[in-house]
Amino acid sequence: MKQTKQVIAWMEKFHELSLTSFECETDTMSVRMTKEFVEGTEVTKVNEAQKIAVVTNESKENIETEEMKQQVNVEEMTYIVTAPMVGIYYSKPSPDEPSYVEEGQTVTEGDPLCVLESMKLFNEVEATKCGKVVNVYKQDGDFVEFGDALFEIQLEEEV
Amino acid sequence: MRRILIANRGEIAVRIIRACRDLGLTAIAVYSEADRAALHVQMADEAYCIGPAPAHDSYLNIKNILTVAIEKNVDAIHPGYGFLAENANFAALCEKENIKFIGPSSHVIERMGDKAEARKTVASQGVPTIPGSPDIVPTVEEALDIAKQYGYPVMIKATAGGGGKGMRVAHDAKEMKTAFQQATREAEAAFGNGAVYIEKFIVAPRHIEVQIAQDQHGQAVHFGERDCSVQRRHQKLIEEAPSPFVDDVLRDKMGVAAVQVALAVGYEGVGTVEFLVDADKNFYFMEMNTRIQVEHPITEEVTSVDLVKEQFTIARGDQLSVKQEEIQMTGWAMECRINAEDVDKDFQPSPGTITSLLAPGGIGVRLDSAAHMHSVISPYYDSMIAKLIVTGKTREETLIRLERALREFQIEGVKTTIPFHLAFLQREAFRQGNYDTSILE
Repeated sequence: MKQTKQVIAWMEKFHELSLTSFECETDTMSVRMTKEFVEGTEVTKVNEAQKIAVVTNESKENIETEEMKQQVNVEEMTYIVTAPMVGIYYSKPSPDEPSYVEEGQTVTEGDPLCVLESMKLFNEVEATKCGKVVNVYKQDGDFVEFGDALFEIQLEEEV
Repeated sequence: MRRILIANRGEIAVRIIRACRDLGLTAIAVYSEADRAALHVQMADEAYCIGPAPAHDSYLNIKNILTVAIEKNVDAIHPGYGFLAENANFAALCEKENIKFIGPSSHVIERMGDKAEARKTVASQGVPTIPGSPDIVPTVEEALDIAKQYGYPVMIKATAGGGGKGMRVAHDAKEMKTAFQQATREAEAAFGNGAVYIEKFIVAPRHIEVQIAQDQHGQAVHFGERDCSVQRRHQKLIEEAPSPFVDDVLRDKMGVAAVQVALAVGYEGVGTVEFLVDADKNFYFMEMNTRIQVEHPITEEVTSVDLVKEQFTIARGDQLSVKQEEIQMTGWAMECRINAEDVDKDFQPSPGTITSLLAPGGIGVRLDSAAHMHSVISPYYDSMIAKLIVTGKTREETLIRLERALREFQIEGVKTTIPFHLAFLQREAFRQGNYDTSILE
């Protein structure tokens, strides 16, 4: 299930960049996405169907095919916070202060999650949606590339 | 100097990585999200993602690129051509961070990058320049005065310009106001600097440039000329070395002048001095490009010098690998820039995925390219697919080989300019070597 969440993050990018096909292989799964148009609809309309095939090596499950409309509505959606720049990851504003966030912590839009240091300048990375931090992927001092996954946040309704 | 970061993409990044391999250097690539599957990323020893597709946020993102260089202990950065190659600020930042910028100093880049300033420098060396305003021309009134002095037609050119932008021709006083305003506006938009200067417009000149190299020991040489007169809207399409218009006497004069320019500015690295040559074989300095150029391979083929390797040699502090008397132009080389453009639709870019690729081959055929099956020609970057470089013993032999190679070259999935090149090779003026920059007008 966790892997499906990763796939959802990729789906968002897939759509954002208006790709028509995407393939990716990691240690534990291979994902292939293609965009097909439902017959009879205009290219620009909302009725695009996106087929996603997820094959997990571990469980050797049969291929799961989920057909999703553009307005995705999946329970327990999470999103991945990715690095908006290249830098060194730090979980705290300074060495003697507490971490910005811990696993399990709830955050709201605009909360700082970590800091990325680049050429002696420090940039805070903020949460863009409300939710609970379910995964912290980096450690202090890690070199982070643009687009690297930093946090997984389980979306929650704003209280 | 072992770890080299290549701050570029596409075919030139591949070219630089090849030179790194030949020299036993570690090649470090940077790439945008659009280039994840790109050839330069696959070929490099290490590769780091520096931004989203738009060049402004990735290949022009100085902060991200320098952060990779600093954190990954890079010794030198090769900027290729375009992007940050002639960005004096970037070169200065590299110098500050103790990372060797493969090219001249930021000071020299700035000096030669300012076209009006460059002309002044060169003129002071006695190298002929196109008659024109010694400085920036701030108003239309002054422009009209200067034009009267030199006589129409005149060219209004952006001082921060390049690549054919921010340029307008005025054929008489009536056209001057509009031309001046348009050039200024375009320059402001393209380079953030609307300052212009005025030059006498030489009708139907030849664009002939000289390849030079200078090491850190004050030794400079030239490698002969390239004829780049085949241009469409100031974009080069076909280049050849040597030039069919240049005889030994002119070659020597231009070569000496180019070397003089390099020495005068304290140049370091490889560079190109561009001249305009009129029908009477008078040559005039136009500008200097302080980087490796797209068309460098044709010079390599006729002189047998690896110019990118030479860049590393010079950057390391070693002496030039050749002396002037050892440099000879042997044979004839031509390069076709094959772009993903629709020839029938006014060369409109035709981005997409290459679904099939069959490269030409055989004696004297060289392909510099990052394209491969399934590679994507992205709308975010230039539309170049490949440079096809063909060499022969004589110009005639080269023409025959070039046509054969173009016919062999099969690319599917995107439109290409191969049909244009094949048609162009049939033009009598080109076959005779009797052409100038007006040939594609």
